[in-house]
Order: sequence, then structure tokens, then C-alpha cells
Amino acid sequence: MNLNQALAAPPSLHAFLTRMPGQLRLIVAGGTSAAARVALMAFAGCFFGAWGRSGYVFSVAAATGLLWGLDRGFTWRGREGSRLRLVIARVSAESVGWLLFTALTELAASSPSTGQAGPRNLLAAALCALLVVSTHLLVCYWFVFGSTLTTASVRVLHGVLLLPAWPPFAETAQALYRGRGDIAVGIWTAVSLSMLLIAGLTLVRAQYGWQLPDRVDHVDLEDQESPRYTFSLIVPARQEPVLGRTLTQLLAGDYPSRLFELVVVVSDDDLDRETREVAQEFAGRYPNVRIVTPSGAQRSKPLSLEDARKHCHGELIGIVDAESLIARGLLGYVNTLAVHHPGTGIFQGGVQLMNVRGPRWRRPESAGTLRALVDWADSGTSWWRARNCLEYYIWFMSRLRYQAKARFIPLGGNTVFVRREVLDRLGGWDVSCLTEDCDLGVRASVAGVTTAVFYHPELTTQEETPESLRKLVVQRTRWMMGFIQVFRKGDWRRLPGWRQRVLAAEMLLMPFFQALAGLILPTSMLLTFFLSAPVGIVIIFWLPLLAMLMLTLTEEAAFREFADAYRIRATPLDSVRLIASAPVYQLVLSLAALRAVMRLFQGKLEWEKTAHVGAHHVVIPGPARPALRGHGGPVLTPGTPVAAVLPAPAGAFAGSEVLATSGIPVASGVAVASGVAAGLAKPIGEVRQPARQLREAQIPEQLTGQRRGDRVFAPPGVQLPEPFEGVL
Amino acid sequence: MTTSALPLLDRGTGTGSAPADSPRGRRPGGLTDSVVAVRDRISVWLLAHWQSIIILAVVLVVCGLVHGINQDGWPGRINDDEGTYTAQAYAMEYWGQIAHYTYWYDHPFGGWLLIAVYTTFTHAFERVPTAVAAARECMFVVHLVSCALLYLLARRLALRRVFSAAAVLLFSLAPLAVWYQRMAFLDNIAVMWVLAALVCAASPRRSAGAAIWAGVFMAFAFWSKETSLILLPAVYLLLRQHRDRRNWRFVRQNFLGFLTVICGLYVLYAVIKNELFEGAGHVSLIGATRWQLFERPASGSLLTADSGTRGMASLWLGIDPYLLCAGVVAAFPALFVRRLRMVAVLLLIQFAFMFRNGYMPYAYVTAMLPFAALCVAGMLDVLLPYYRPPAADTARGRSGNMAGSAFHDPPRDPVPAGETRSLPLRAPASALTPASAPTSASFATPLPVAAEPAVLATWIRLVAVASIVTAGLLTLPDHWAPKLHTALTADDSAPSREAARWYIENIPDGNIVVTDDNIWTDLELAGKKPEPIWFYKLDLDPAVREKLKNGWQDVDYFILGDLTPVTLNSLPMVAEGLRNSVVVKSFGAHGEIAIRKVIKPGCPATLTTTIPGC
Repeated sequence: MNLNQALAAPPSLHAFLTRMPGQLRLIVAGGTSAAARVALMAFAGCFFGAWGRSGYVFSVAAATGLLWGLDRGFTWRGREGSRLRLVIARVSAESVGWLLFTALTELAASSPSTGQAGPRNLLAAALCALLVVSTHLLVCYWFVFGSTLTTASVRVLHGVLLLPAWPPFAETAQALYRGRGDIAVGIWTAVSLSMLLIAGLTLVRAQYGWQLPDRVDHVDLEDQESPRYTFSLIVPARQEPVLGRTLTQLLAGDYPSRLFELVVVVSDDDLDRETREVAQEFAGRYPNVRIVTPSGAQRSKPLSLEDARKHCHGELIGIVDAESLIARGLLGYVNTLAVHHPGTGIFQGGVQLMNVRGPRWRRPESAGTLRALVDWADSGTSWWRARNCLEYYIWFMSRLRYQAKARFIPLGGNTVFVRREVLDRLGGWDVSCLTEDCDLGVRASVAGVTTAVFYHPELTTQEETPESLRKLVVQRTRWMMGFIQVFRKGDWRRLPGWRQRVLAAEMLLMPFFQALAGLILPTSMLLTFFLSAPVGIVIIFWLPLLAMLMLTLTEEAAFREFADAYRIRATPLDSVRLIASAPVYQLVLSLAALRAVMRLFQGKLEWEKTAHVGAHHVVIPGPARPALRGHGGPVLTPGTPVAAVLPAPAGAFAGSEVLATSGIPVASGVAVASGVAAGLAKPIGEVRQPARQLREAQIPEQLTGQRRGDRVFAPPGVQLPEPFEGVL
Repeated sequence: MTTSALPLLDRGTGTGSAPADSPRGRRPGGLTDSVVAVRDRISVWLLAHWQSIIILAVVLVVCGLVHGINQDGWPGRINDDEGTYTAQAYAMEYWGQIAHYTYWYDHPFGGWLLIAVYTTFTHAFERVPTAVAAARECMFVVHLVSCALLYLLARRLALRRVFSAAAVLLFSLAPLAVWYQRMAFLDNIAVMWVLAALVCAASPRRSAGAAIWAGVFMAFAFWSKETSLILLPAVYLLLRQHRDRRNWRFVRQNFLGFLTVICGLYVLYAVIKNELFEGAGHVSLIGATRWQLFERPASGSLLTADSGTRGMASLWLGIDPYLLCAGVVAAFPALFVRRLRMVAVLLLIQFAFMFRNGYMPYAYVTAMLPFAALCVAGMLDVLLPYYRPPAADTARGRSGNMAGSAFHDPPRDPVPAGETRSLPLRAPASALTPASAPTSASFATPLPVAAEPAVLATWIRLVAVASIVTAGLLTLPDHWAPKLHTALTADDSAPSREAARWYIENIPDGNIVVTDDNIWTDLELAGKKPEPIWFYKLDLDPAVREKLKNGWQDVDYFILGDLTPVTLNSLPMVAEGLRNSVVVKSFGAHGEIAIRKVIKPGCPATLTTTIPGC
């Protein structure tokens, strides 16, 4: 034996088991299952005196739980079959076993000749176990995995197989009905406790960024490496009149222009003509701006990213949304991080919504009092804006950093930088996935890529909140559906550690929990009065509410931090409003979650199959843009700014062209959710623009000079607007 | 590249090696990795703390011996509250009820819940001779935990190890502490939780999690004894003193939030039972609170002669004048030492409350003891200059780093630098800035050569500490040793214990017996039927009177000690019953407790009678 063989790992038990021949596998699995049942029955009988049917049921349930995965992972490994049929076969066999056990024990009890009840019933259980296991295996062998049956006979067979399940089903239903009060209390206790657990975990993770003082200021701006890495920044633009401003801002950054290139993705159709012209103008002027114009009528963000990836030459590929404000020193800091952490594959920067207060509300002309009131509540209020900004702050400052540490991160779709070799190894973006950013994060986590998340007010990408509450709900619905879509896609199951898998499931199923959270408050209150539960149980009902109260207090603290970091003047009234609005906002989120869940059950996830053509990723210029873009889902995780409302100045829309084009998607028959389409036609009067752009956009000499005032700085549809007064 | 050269990132992110090639990826929490990491952390922790561990172990053994030996025998059953809490713990363990009679919100029930948890898990009621002894066992554990927490708190307040140990010994060996901490009082449990909250509040990591625990423990203190909330301002200020501006908002919200929420559960409990507001036919939280705060007969101020408070104070000073007086004396200068200020405030708050004309509980002094001990030891620590052998500087500096600063001390924000654990090891600086915590600036600059006045001041301080310690060593053993000897040997509980045993062995079932709470649980545990009756409830509980239609005439036996006239006046039925009874057997040298048989009207006043119904 040579040294290499000696050092090689011994063949693992797992490998040995899975290489077993089929018949032997059946025998081993069946034997294990039957033995486990008998042993558990004996355990229940000896320690709890449950020799009867309860003991039998316990043994079956416990054996199923303990040997979970035996069927799929071992017995039927490599065979394809319907899960439904597997379940039917199982239920049928178990019911037969239950009936047999009942009959045997009754028979033995009525005849006087037999001995003690314990051994007798154990024997009966052993018999049943053998019968059930062998029946199950045989049925599966022929019916589930070897079936060539036609549809009609399969239906008949389903019915026949389920026949023996009726008696135990009836008995169970009767027992449930008898104990319905206790069961209701028990279920709600379990719901409350799990909600408490989730609220507690959310609390801890929301505080992760502030848990230790040293964790707070984790970005040192003084620490700057000299520029070394080359960047490719992909700017997917679809009908972005503000593209010129974004490109200007990017070119005005302090990173040397020979070390980064901008890859602007604009489609070559007529819709994007205006945007394309802007981009072409930049490309003609700056050698490091490159335009990719893929053809195809229907575009989506992942498609654009994939198209652009082929043209990227930089070592780090970044994604920048066309309407966001990029910080000046961002590339320099990412370069520093990349130099210092050669092992890190992905760098996620912070994205921050900025307008805690809405624009001044104007009463819509020709609207009745009621409609005006609705309009005011929808878009004139700003309580939810503060909470929305805060969500972003907590998400990027704390939650994502925790996720990065826990090595399961749903990435954002903006201000994210990936090393090219990592991206290539991951196979790029999944164009069939609407939430390509979250999906990329999941796959990167599966591959063990480390992610660095950094957040500093001077480095964040700034965006704005949705323009109305209704659009917030639409946006949230989309995120949540995106999360569920990624959940269903199932990549997270391949995460290396069970903790990561649990974390992934918790995070991706958050819509359900959120919907539940909105139901908890009223239900618990009602149950307090109507359900005759012991005091201790009722207190348990209240615990999730108290945990949410703690979460609200944390949010208040975070809001003050946020206001400090961005020098927003926050009054005590703001804090009060923030706390008072928490339940309402929770209800809004629950509404969105319910919508998402309902659409899921209605089968509206159908579009996941056709999503790769980006049927909904149609962008309407001007006022309609945010909602529709949002629906197409270029950005579906909370980390990603969707529909950042930076409407072009009103002047840009003068003329009939825009108004005419805004009708295009509907006219062209593209499926647009009716709720979304309804919110489109509203014109936006306000000119809103974060002020930092003007404050920080100090254009280098080679850019400014003779060019100032040229169309570069006022491309069609873009005027550098006045600073937005409400923010700063 | 050193770590400090890296941009700060969260641990575990960004610093990993290159992405792994295997499709399953790198297992971040691989078994061997975590085992090695845990082993490393444990060994680092041991290296940093081995001295403290040894000192604490020795101190705890001493305290454990003093408090553990003869803990049932001394003090005797002089306070009925002990029995009440024991009985309530018994009711929790055996009946699943909060109290053995109607719970009327006298105190939150967390204290005896803890006792019940202890007795349930250790089977203490089944094990020990009397029920109260089981509860006292729990107190023994609580006291040891309190000692350990006090040591930890002292260390976190930058006391040197020897003074930390001295604080623990002062606290534990003072006769007052032996007296009160042995008894099954809720105050002991509350003191433990307050100390735990203080330890968390002074956490050198200044984490938001520590603030959560501080809030939770403070809420537990409330749940054990509601009066511990008067210490809340000082606990909050200690937390504030140790704050770090970068996460202070979260720390504050966590502390106050968790405290409020967990305390609020008590109100929620009352609301759910529909017992928050006063009403006919049920007890109420507000009613009980009003009675405790306003209607309970006040004990008077400390300044009033003949007041109950004055009497209580003289009782305490009679047991041990030294610790309390020294503590209060030391507390005033300690107010001017930043790191000791809050401890002094904790003591002085309680001291100040004695001047108010309110109800003075018997065990009020308990919560003053640890802080008095800490004030005394802390002031000695402040007085004693630091000694730095020139050669040992580097070695000590390194271990000092390990102990504290490298891990816990944020380099850029030295707000409460005086409290870091590394301070005592490396700081001759306090010799130059007497009676104040050195700032981190003084760490950084090399020490100047001490000038003449500084040397003089050092010597004066040395002499002062030496004389105080000498005086203490000369005085305390003389006064404490006899008392501790009594505590370790005297069996003052014997009468009560024997009375219970005698009754259980000699009086058959079927007799209605009225007894104090100490014996009540013993009779319950012995399975006496019908249920014994706690003598207070005979007069005060409508449910009990419902069962005994004829009042005292339905009672067969009394097992009671001597009741004060005030008590008897408030309990007319008990008084009448006692008047119509004869002593069957009395226990103790002076007849501390007696078993009496009630002579019903028309019956001869003899013990042995054959007339049915007598």
C-alpha cells in the first residue's frame, strides 16, 4: 500500500449504504423500520404503560419521525415517483396496520386463554409492523415507482387504497371534536410560542449591528488602499430618463477612470430610444462607457445582467440601478476591501431610502372629499415613509451583516460587487428567476462564498420611498412572492449547515410569518376574552405582542441613529409617531403578505415559468415607471430599492409623446396586474431629488470645463433639479 | 498584515479563505473547527481568570461553610413570613397554585416560584426534616450565587482581587447577613437578582445583550420582591455610567423595555384574572398596592424615638453594628469616586428610605448588606495606592491585556475607562490622581517620576489603609466570632420542629388544627387530614370561615407560639380559641411554642375525655 492510499479517507458508511443493491436496500429499510416500531412500542409500554392503541400510534408516529428520510433518501434513492402516491400508499398501509392491531387486541382481550396484555400486544404490534412495512414496500414498488397505469385506473386505485383509512380517520375526527377546546388552546399556544421565537430572533438580528460598540462603526473611511482592482459596473437601464444623471455621478467618482468601465444595458427597441441616445452620447465621449444593446421585445433585469456579463472585463462586477445616487468614494472603498480580503467573493454596500417625510400633498383637482381623503391617506401621508426608510437602515446596517456572518445572505440587487471568477463559477444570474439578486445570494451561500457587507452613511446608495402607500403594498407583495419563489426553487436545501438551512427557510418564509403577525394581535385579544384557558396560557398568548413591542422600541432607537447619521432633524413627535404607527405598518405588511400568499394559492406564481421572457418587466416612462418596473421585479429583496421614485421633472413630460407611450403596455396586451395598472395614470407633480447629488457631485476637471451646461448634464428629460427640501 | 490594518468587518465575514471548490461548500461550523475554537476560548479564559477562580473558590468554600452548617437550627422560627413563603412554594409544587390560600397580590410570586423550582428539582421537601429547612436550603444556594455575583461586580468596578474577596467576606460573614440570608425571605432572592442586574449593567463589553439581561434580572428582582424597584434609578445610572455612545440608545431601550415588559406581565396577570381593579367579592392588585403603600400602618421615621423603624434599626445594630455603620460612613466619600458612586447611591437610597414614615419590613436591611460591604472594600481599594514592581511590568501588562483591555476595551471611546478590568493590573496612575479613576490618557503617557508630595501622599494612604485594616482585624473577630459560633451551633428551631413532629406522631387524623405557617407545611407534607389552617386565615379568609361555621368551637387544636397583643387584637377568633384551650404540650426551654387543645363549651377542661364531641 502506498502512502496515498494509506492517507485516503476510509469509505464512508453513507457511500456504502447508497451503493447497496436494490433488493438488499428494501430488506434493510423494511427491517429497520419494523424493528424501530417494535422497540418504540415496547418503550411506550414499559415506561408509560401504553400497551394499547395509543402506544401503537405513538410507535408509528415516532418511528416515522426518527426514520424520516429513510424512504426517499435510502429506499427509493434514484427512483422517480410521485410524492402524492407515496403518501397515499403510506396512509393506506398504516390504516390497514391500525385496523389489524385493533382487531388482534380486541380478539385477544375477548378470548380468555391468552396471557398478559403487554407481551400480547407487543406481539400484535410486531405482526402489524411486519405487515405494514412489507405492504408499503410492495405497493410502492409496483404502484409508485413501477407504475405504468393509465389515468382512470390510477384514480380507482387511489380510491381503493384510501378505503382502509376511513375508520381511523373517523375515530380521529371524533376525538378531535371531543377535545376541540383543548386543541384550539394548544394550537394557539404553539402559534404564539413560535411567533415569540421568531420575534425574538428578529429582535436579536435587528440589533446585530449595535450589539457591541465595536460593531457599529465598522467602516473606516481613512483607511484607503491605492486603486488596484478594475471594475465593471453594469447599469441596466430601461426607459430611465435619469440615466444621464446617474452616469455623470458615476464618472464623477474618485476612482481613476482607467480602472473602471460602465456597461450600460439598453435594449434596441423604440421604447428605449431616448435612454439609448443618452447612453450613446456618453459612450461617444468617454472611452470607459460601453453600451450593450440586446435585442428582443421583452426585457428583464436578469436578462440584462446576463447580457452585460459577457462584456465585462473588470475583476469586480458591480450592479448599479439607473436611478440611484451612488456615493463618491464607493469604488475606492470596495477596492480597499477587495485588497484586504482576498478571500471574500461578494461585497454588498448599503442602500438607503432617504425621504422620511413625503412631499407636500396637493389636493387632486376634480376630486370629491372622500376621494381626496383617500388620496391623502395614500400618498399624502408620510408616517410610513419614515418606517420604510428605517427598514432599509436596519436591514443594511444590521440584518444583512448578520446574514453575511451566518453565511446565508439574500443579496440586494443594487450596489453589490462580485468578483468575476466567483460570478462565472456560480454561472451568472438565473434569467428564469425574477429575484435574481436574492437567488444569486442563495447560490453563493450554497457555494460557500463569503460576503462582506458594509454600511456607512458616506458610502450608501441613496434612493427614495415608493410614492404612495398602495405602491408600497404592491412592492411588498412582489418581494414576498419573490422570496417564496426562491424558497420553492429549493437551492437553499443544499446549504452546508443545518443552521443555515433553518435560517434560509425562516427568512424565505417570512411572508407567512408576517401575515401571521398581523393576525396575532386581534386574535389574541379575542381569545383572552372568549377562550377559557388557564392564566398562564393566556399570558403566553400575549408574549408575541410584548416581543413586538420590544422590536418597536429597538426601531425607535435605530431611527434616532438614522437621523443622526444623515443629519435629519427628528423631533420627539417623530419617535412617538414611529412607535404609534408600528401596528398599522404591521397591518400593511400583513396585507401585502396576505396578498402574496393569496396570489400564491391562486396559482399566480405561474409566471415563474414564463418569467424568463420578462413579461411584466415592461417599463413605462414617466409616472408609470415605478409601479410597472416594480411588477417586473428587477429587485425583489428588501435589500434592493425598487421603484425608487426619482421622477423626472414635470417639464420632461411636456408633450404628448410620453402620455401616448404610457398607454403602450396595456395596449400591447402585456399582462399587467390590474391593481398595478390602476395606480399608473396618476401624474407626479413633485420634483424630488436627494440633495446629496448636488452637494457631492464635484465633477473632475476633464469632465467639467467646457462641458458644463452641455447636454451631458441636461440630457433629454433630465434637468438637474432643486434639492429636495423635505429630506435634509 | 495585522488585523488592525484591515478595515473593520464583522467577524466571520470577509476574512475567510478563498471560496471552496467542493459543491457543498466549506462547512463554516465544522465540528473540529468549533471544538478547537471552544477549547482555545476556554484556555484563554482560564489563563486570564485563574487567579480570580482560585480566590473565589476559597471564599465560596468559607462562606458556604459558615452559611451551610446548622442553617436550619439558627436563626429559630422567629418570623412567620418564612413559613408563609415555604407554604406558598409548597402550594406551587404540589397543588399547582400560586398560594395555599387565595392569592391577594401581597407580593409578586416570583420569589416563591424560585423556591418551588428548587424544591421540585431537588426533592427538598421530601428530604429535609422541616419544610422551612427546604426553603432555607434554597436560600443557601441563593447566598452563594449572591457572593459570586458580588465578587464579579466588585471586579467589574475595578476593585483589586483582594478587595473584591474582602467585600464578599464582609458581606457573607457579618452576623446580620448570616441571620438574614439564612432565613427564607424574598429579599434574599431579590438581592441576588439585583446583583445579577448590576453585574450585567457593568459589563465591560457594553453589549446590547448585556443590557437585556440587566433588564431581565432587574425585572426578576421586582418579581421576587416589588420593593427592589427603589434601587432601579441606581441600576440605570450604573448602566448609563458604563455606556458607550455608539450603542447607548439600544442599550437603554433594551434595559427599560425588557424591564417594563416583564414587570408588566404582573399587571397583565391581574388583568387576565379580572383582579386589577377593586371590586366586590375578589382581591385586586390595585387594592393590595394601595394597602401596601398607604394604608399599612407606618413604622415611623428613623428620627422618631420609639418608632418601629427605630426599633428595627436598633435590632439590626444589636446583631451587628460594624458592617452597616462602616458601609454608610464609607458611602459618603464613595459618592465622589466615579466607579463606586452608584454602589454608594444604592446604599444611601435605602438608608434615606428609613427616614420616611413608611412601613419598615423586618428584612429591609438585607438589601443594604452587599452594598455596605462593597462600599467599605471599595473605599479601601481607592485608598490603597497601586504597587508596580518595575521588572514585572511587561509580564503583567500582557496578562492585563488578556484580562480585559484587548478584548473588551474599545480603544476609541474610553468613557468609563476607570471600570475596565485591566485597570488594577497596570495602573500605578491612580497613585498620581488620588481617589479618582485614571483616564486612558494616563495609560498612554509614560509615568513621570513621582515627586516628593506624591510619595508622601502614597505613604499617608498606605498608613490609612493599614490602620483601618488593623482596626478591623482587631475588632471584628472579637465581636463576630461568638455570634458566628452561635450561628454554627445553636439549635433555636428545635421547639418548632419538635412540636410539628410530636403533633404528627401523636394526634390522629380528623382533628382540625390551627397553626402557624412554619408548621402548616410540615403537617401538609405529613398528609394530615383535614387540611391544617393557618391561624391568620381563621379570622381573615371568608373561604375558611365558610367551612368553620361555629368559629373557634370547630377547632380542635392550636399549635402556636406566643402572639403579641397587637396580633391577637386583630384576630379575635384566634384569641377566643386560645382563651378556651389548655396546653397539651409545650416545647422549648421557655415554652416558645405550645400545642393546645380547645375546650368546647360544655366539655370538662381536661385532656383526656371520653365524652363524644369534646
